[in-house]
Amino acid sequence: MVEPSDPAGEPLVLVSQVSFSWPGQKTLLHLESLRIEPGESVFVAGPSGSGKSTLLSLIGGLIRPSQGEIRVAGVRLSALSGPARDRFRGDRIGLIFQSFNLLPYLSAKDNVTLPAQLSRYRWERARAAFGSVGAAAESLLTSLDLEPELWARAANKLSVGQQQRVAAARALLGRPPLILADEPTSSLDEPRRLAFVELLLRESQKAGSSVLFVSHDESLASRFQSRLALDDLRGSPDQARPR
Amino acid sequence: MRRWKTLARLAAQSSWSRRGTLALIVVSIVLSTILLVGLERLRTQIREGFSQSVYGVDLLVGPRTSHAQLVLYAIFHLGGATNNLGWARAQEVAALPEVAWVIPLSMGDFHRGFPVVATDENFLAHYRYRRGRSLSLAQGREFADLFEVTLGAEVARKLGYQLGDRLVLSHGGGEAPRSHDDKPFLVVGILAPTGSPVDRSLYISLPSMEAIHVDWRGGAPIPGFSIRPEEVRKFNLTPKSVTALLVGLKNRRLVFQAQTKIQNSPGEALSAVLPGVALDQIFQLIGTGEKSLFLVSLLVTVTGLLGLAATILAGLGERRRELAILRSLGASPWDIVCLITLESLWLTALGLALGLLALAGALAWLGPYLLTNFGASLELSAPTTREWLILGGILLAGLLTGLGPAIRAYFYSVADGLSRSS
Repeated sequence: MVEPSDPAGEPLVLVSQVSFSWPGQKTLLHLESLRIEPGESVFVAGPSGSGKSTLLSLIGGLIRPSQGEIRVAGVRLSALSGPARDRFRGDRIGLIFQSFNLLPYLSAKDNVTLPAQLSRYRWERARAAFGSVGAAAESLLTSLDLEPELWARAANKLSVGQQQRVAAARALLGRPPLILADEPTSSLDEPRRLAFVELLLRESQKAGSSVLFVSHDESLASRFQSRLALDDLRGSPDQARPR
Repeated sequence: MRRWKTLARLAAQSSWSRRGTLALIVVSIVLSTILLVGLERLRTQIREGFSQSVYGVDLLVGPRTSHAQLVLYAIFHLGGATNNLGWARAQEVAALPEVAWVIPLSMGDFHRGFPVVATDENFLAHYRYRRGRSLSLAQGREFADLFEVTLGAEVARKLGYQLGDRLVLSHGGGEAPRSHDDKPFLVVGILAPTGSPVDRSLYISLPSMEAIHVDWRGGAPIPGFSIRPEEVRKFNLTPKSVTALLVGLKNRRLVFQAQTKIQNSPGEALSAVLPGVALDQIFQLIGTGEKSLFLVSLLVTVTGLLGLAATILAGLGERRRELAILRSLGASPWDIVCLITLESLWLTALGLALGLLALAGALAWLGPYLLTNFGASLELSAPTTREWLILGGILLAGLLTGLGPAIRAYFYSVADGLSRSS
């Protein structure tokens, strides 16, 4: 296992000179530079098609950049083999998808504990904090307002809002240093969006995780420590980081 | 270790959620297993039933003739004996110090196409078939007195005879058999089914055989001369000759010495045959059907496994997203390979287990019926080494079948599977 070095001052995520295109197609995304500090929450805005999801996929190691370098927790993602990247992602990154991507045949609680089943790092961190992975999952589900009656229910039998919170709990379990959230509120109505974002930010702060949150809903941006517009990122990044 | 447990649990839960589709795969494996193992068992038992039509007989002794011919008429009662063996010569063989017992057989008469065998009490005492089973009576008793007959199981069943019935033997099995209708026989016993030629025969005593022929010469009644059954006892009914002898030795390791001794003994020339060897030789000739049976069952299994491969491959499309989710949570491509292979492995194993269970049930239930009605002896028994090999082969094939789709899934990209919307 690549043990990520974490020298003081090194950002959690460092993207430089990255571009991405599918083979034979025009460039989908070009990014001069992006930094995310440990514990920082970042809102990424941009119209659909601006490459927001591509950015998350690149940082999450789901796809490889055509050019440039991405470092997460001190590790160069492009230096890792496919399986090593899967492992690294499983260890260090919690993902929340637009369509949640819960496993329908597992219960809510089993979905939440799944990352710890697949990653020793998160297994150990969950146990260190809560005594057991099960207790960690229950604590997270409770904090995210999911009633205990629902814990044993199959994921596809939950309402959209409930699935959302299960997906968030799954990403947070084992306290990964980085949470990537891709339009997770797009299927919620207005008041519930805000409530969800607040829950997510509160819990990731407790866990000490950075959050990179992609959405086209600008009204949520005020809750985050920083806001980036994707158009800004292309080209001159330094002016594009208002605090 | 924990990872394996996780993968096994995920494979199980995932399979369970797709149980409708997977049940069909299991059913096809169950059917393949039943057919392959069932046909294999049928095949070996046909062979065994044939080559152990007679068991525990060390030597088959008859007049000088070809070994195959001697076996065919002495054991299967097919064809006719060209000449007989004098009774005195038979007594000499029985008196040899190496010989433990002798079953004399005298043939030539028939009843409605079934051969009639004249023998003595040694037949029921010493005759053995498949793996040393002895004969037993389903009803009644062994023939003893003149004009008493004990029937093989199939004879009684096909012709509908019961104890106390009377029947008439005929001389020769040819186109126009001559009837011994002046001396009818009384059915005193019916043998239990054996799945061997015994089922198709009628058994009478050697004196009975003499008695029905006292007024015959050269294969036909003496014209104008007839002796009634009551009077026949006044005649000397010691047999003049027999067709063959089944010989049991005191020490079967000395079978070759005994064979040489009998064949070289002075007097009437004799053939002494090791029945097992001769039966195997005959089976070589008629055993081609057996090989094609195996080929058929092999094809059936290949078809079943192709079905397994096709279903897993087809299911891969709908599992793409599920597999991508697992990858996104840290499962490596190898974990995915394990997951899919594990599934095909345990589906195959389940199909095998259910197939064996179903087969065992079918044999326990149908076995006696098959034995009685078809003379096919299919018994419930633990799988043989060869059957274990077949089962192992199916399991291995199931594993390899799963490996193909698994390798395909290995190359699925994570992003691809996730970008599909729910």
